[in-house]
Formats: sequence, C-alpha cells, structure tokens
Amino acid sequence: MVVFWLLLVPLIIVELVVYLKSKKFYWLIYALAIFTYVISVCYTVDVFDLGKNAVILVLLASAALMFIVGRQLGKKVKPQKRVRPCARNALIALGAVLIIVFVVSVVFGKLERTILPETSVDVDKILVDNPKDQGPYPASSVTIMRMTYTNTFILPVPVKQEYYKVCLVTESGAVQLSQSYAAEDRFNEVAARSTKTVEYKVMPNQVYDPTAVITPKEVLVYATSQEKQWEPCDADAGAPLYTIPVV
Amino acid sequence: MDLEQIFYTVAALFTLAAIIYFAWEYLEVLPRVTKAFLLFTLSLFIFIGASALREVER
Repeated sequence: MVVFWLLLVPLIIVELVVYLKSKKFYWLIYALAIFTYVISVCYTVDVFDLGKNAVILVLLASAALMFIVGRQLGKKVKPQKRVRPCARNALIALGAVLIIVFVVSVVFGKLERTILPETSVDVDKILVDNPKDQGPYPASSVTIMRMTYTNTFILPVPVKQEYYKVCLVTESGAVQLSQSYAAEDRFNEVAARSTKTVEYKVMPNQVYDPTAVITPKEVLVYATSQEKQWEPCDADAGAPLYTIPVV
Repeated sequence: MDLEQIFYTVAALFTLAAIIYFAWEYLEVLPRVTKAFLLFTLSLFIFIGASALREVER
C-alpha cells in the first residue's frame, strides 16, 4: 500500500503533464494502465517474497513487454468510428472475469475454524524474572490457544485476524499480556482444500523486582475488537471466552 | 444532453461507487494469488480500453 500511495502523486503529475501536452484522453488511460501494471509487479514481488533472481527475471520480462507494446503502438492504426467488436468483447470478457473472480472468492472463500485452548499454562513460562540489568527480554512466547482452519475452497483463503484480550489474573490483580507475532504469519493463508493449525501466543509477564511475590492463578481470554484490545484488564469485558489455569 | 442521459450517468456513478466500495471492504478477504491476478487483469483491461479509445479518437 505504501508503494501505491508513493506512486499515486507522480502518476497525477504525469497525467496532468501528458494531457496538457497531447490533449488526447487515451494517453491518460495508457498512463493509468502502466501505473496499474507497475503496482501489480511491486505487489507480486512483495507478497510472494520473490528471491533476487526472480525479481531480476520479472524486471527483465516487464522491460521486454513494454518494448514489444511500444513497437506495436508505433504502428499506424486505421481510425474507427466505433469501438471494434473484438476490443469491446475483450473488455466485456475481462470485466466479467474480474467481477466473477472477486465475488466468487468473497462469497465462497470462507474458513471453518475450531479453537482449542490449552488445558493449563506453566507458571515458569507465564511469569518470567527479568531484572532491568539483564538487558534484552530473554523469554519466549507462550501458546495459549490453537486454532485449526479448514479450507474447502479451490483457492487459498486468508486467515481473518481475530482480536483477543488476554489477562493474567494474580492475587493482587490482573495484568494484560501482549500477543506475540511471528514473522511467517505476515500473510497467513490456508492453502486450497487443506487444513492449517495456528498457535495463538502471548508474551509472558515480566517481573522486574526479584523480591516481589506474585502468585498467578489463571489466564483469561476475552473476545474483543481492534479498537478495544488495549483496554485495561480491570475494565468490564464481560465473561471470558476461556479460562486457563496456571499450574 | 437529454434529461434521461443525466439519470443514466448518475446510475453509472452509483454503480461505480458500489463496485469501488465493495472492493475496498472485501479486499482483505482475498488471498494474495487472487489479488495479484486481479491486478494484472485490471491493467490488461485498462490497456485494451486505452487502445480502443485511441482508435476512436484518431
């Protein structure tokens, strides 16, 4: 998305300059087609994490494509009174493909989800001593739920992000635990006609004062929204979805 | 411009707004491969449209 907004301003400037110089509307549409193609290439390189050689191949192929298109456009064209039937049919067919693929993916591309919370959480993993002089945070994240997604569609389906508020209840109160994100979950999708299990992890609570005595009791998991996910654990969040004892 | 053409234009604008809003709201539920395919198809669609317009405007 950043690349899209970065290229949008130059596109608008280019469109203005092109139209002022040529006074031909179709030049603007060609510029828009080039912009859309550049966005397509940038998006593909980004989301599929293409390697160095693949990126070079894509760039060379794009250069060759633009060269061929340029040569074709250089040829003289007979003026037409109306849009040719083959061009009109191609536009209708492509438009139909765009709409059908989009709508079918939205309507039928759904996942079946099963959530299995952990039966208990280890106290040594959910409470970690980290006195300030020890430097970076040493502990690893803790799995509290496992979510199994089943995809029966013919295309991959992305995992919709669900928001949970996780609170560690101790004798002195409740502390919110942060969700731990893995880099490989950046584009979390379930492959076509397959099942995938995703672990929902949280970062343990750090204890800076080694003399403090904290007795954790349980971990509460609440369903929440993106806007409310950082509300404190003292706020009334209703009944928890799951209660996981700390042992 | 005839009166009915104004209404047809407004109808087309509403349809376009509906398509754009639908795409904006539901884009996140599409997998990466579908989004990449749609982007390339869209660029091809715009290119063919520009070529058709070029023949007519000349």
